[in-house]
Amino acid sequence: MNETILIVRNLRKYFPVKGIFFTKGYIKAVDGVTFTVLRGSTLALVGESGSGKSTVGRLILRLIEPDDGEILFNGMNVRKLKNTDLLEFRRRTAIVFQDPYSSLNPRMTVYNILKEPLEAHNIDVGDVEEYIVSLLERVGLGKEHLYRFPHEFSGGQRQRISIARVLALKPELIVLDEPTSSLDVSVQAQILNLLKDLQESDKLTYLFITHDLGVVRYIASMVAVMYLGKIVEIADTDSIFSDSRHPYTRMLLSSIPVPDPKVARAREKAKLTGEPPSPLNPPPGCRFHPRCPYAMDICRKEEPPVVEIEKRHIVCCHLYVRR
Amino acid sequence: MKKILEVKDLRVHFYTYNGTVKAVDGVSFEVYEGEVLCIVGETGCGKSVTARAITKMIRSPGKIVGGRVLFNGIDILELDEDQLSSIRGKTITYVYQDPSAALDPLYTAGYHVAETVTAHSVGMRIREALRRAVEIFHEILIPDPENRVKSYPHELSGGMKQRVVIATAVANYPKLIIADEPTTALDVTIQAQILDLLKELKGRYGSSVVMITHNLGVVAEMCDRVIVMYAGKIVEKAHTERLFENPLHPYTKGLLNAVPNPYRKTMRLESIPGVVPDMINVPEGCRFRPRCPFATNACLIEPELIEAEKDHYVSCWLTSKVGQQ
Ligand SMILES: Nc1ncnc2c1ncn2[C@@H]1O[C@H](COP(=O)(O)OP(=O)(O)OP(=O)(O)O)[C@@H](O)[C@H]1O
Ligand SMILES: Nc1ncnc2c1ncn2[C@@H]1O[C@H](COP(=O)(O)OP(=O)(O)OP(=O)(O)O)[C@@H](O)[C@H]1O
Ligand SMILES: [Mg+2]
Ligand SMILES: [Mg+2]
Repeated sequence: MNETILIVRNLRKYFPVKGIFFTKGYIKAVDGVTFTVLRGSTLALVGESGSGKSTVGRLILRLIEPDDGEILFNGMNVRKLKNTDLLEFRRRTAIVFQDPYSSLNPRMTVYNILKEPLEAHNIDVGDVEEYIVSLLERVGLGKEHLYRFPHEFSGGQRQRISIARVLALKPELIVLDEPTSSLDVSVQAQILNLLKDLQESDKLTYLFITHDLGVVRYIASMVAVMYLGKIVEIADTDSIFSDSRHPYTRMLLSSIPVPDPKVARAREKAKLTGEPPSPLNPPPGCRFHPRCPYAMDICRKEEPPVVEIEKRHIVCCHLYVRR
Repeated sequence: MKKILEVKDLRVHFYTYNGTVKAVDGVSFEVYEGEVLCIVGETGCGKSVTARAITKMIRSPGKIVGGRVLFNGIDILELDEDQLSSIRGKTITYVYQDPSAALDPLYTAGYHVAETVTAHSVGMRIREALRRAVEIFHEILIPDPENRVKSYPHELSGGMKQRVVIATAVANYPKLIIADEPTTALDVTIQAQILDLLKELKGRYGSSVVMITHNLGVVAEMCDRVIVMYAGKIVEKAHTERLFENPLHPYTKGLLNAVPNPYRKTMRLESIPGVVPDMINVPEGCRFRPRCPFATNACLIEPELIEAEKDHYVSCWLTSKVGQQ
């Protein structure tokens, strides 16, 4: 059961910022990210805007090339894959984006949208129409939707079509980049339930990118919290919510509006200060120190080490270093 | 408590190529002094149109076709443009989702505040008003106010821009601030700071706040009372605690069950089947009927908003019948 599907070590991606004549500097979008994902589980990647979540998602699928680091998918070195191996990797992995409006070609019918990946990968499914109808049925749509165009569907239905397209190739690992952020809560609940069901029946592994901690609690097995290109804490979902250690994780947790007035008004809140600094010139030492209520001298100078609080609970913070 | 605003049977229609959109269809509510009232509901249910209609800001193809908006005893909908502009920006002010759109890139942050101040106080000069801007920045916790007033919008982060917009909104001690999804575009830690700020405003400036949101978390954190809208109508209205404790309308129940709660492990979210109705061909009778698990033939007739328990209103035949028994 506890089989590892994905190992990411020390992943790095810097984007150059171009001046008029020369490169002005680099945005350290992803700066030394390490994590492991077990088959059939969901790792949630959370953090504020610009913390590098989407970049991590695109890097591990090799939609963009990393500057450094290692990605192992089922033991294969993803950065070295070529030709048919790369094509096979592409079949076994997939991504679903936030915006179901722009990720579907408006001029294609649902039938063609779902047939496209089968043709691209030369996959023989027998009766194509039958197969496509079965895909639609799995996401709660049906035969009657085959020859319609994306604009004829609601946001939630379009996200179902995106998911059906991804399922067409029977992937193992799916990156979901804010898949429900543009949907209403009632529709979000439908999509989250669908994703859960599919994960169970197909043993899918998800890397779920979101900034909604309610969604995280519902869908994730593990959570990685990112801040300015780095993971500051990783733990089981329950530990993140009941036993978080990093001051940033705690700040994030006390920032979320809780849909329960009793809890919302009774809970103790961490002090909220400051805004995330520019990723172009991240602060030296621990990147969180300018906003951290517990910052010590060392935090301004040295990057915090990785501390294993307990098995499967890792935090990067000087506060937890035993001296 | 004193009522400062009373909206009565408000109706706003949009006359589009495809037909008439009854965006707001008989909405009534009141705002009390010093309270935060939330309007919550899913996309397209008429929250923003309601908010804009309060100061008659509805443009063609939209039209306010009925209702009254009583403010200090006068009907705002009867006023002409001159009278309206002395209310807007002074006694009733707005904060929108996108602060960038609200700020003019050519003017400094301080100028935006100073301009609203001078516009509504005869004889005040801009120098004096700029000093007032520094004061307000200080009050709403913008760091380094003396220098911040000189910043241009592009030099400010999203959260800071929204603070500047809030500064202009409170500059004239408004009676009512209407905030339409003021934190939707912001990061969570910034969102929490802005919500705290809005909560403080009623104490500091004596303003009431009408807060429009689709986030039930924001409702729980912020609001004294809640209005739940569905397809252009109010389906439920109650004090916040009561609404979460004892939701009466099946739509409200559905919404509450659909939101994943970070503080509770949920095995399965309940979702509301179906989609929001097309606002041109709204269902006959109760508009929630096609999606409602409890719908009966009675629901073919539209239910009225009735008081089911003290200060708790709902429009649903289920409750009406229980009430009669
Ligand atoms: N192609 C690119 N070129 C230059 N900079 C980029 C590029 N893609 C991302 N960035 C920068 O890298 C940083 C991380 O971006 P990323 O999109 O991964 O963040 P995110 O955590 O997904 O944020 P959000 O929650 O807003 O989606 C940001 O500062 C962003 O501006
Ligand atoms: N200018 C317009 N022309 C035609 N229809 C309009 C116009 N403005 C609004 N509507 C319609 O009025 C209805 C209510 O819109 P409104 O903007 O109030 O929704 P909302 O509740 O604020 O939704 P959201 O949560 O998406 O902001 C919608 O069905 C919308 O399509
Ligand atoms: Mg992103
Ligand atoms: Mg709106």
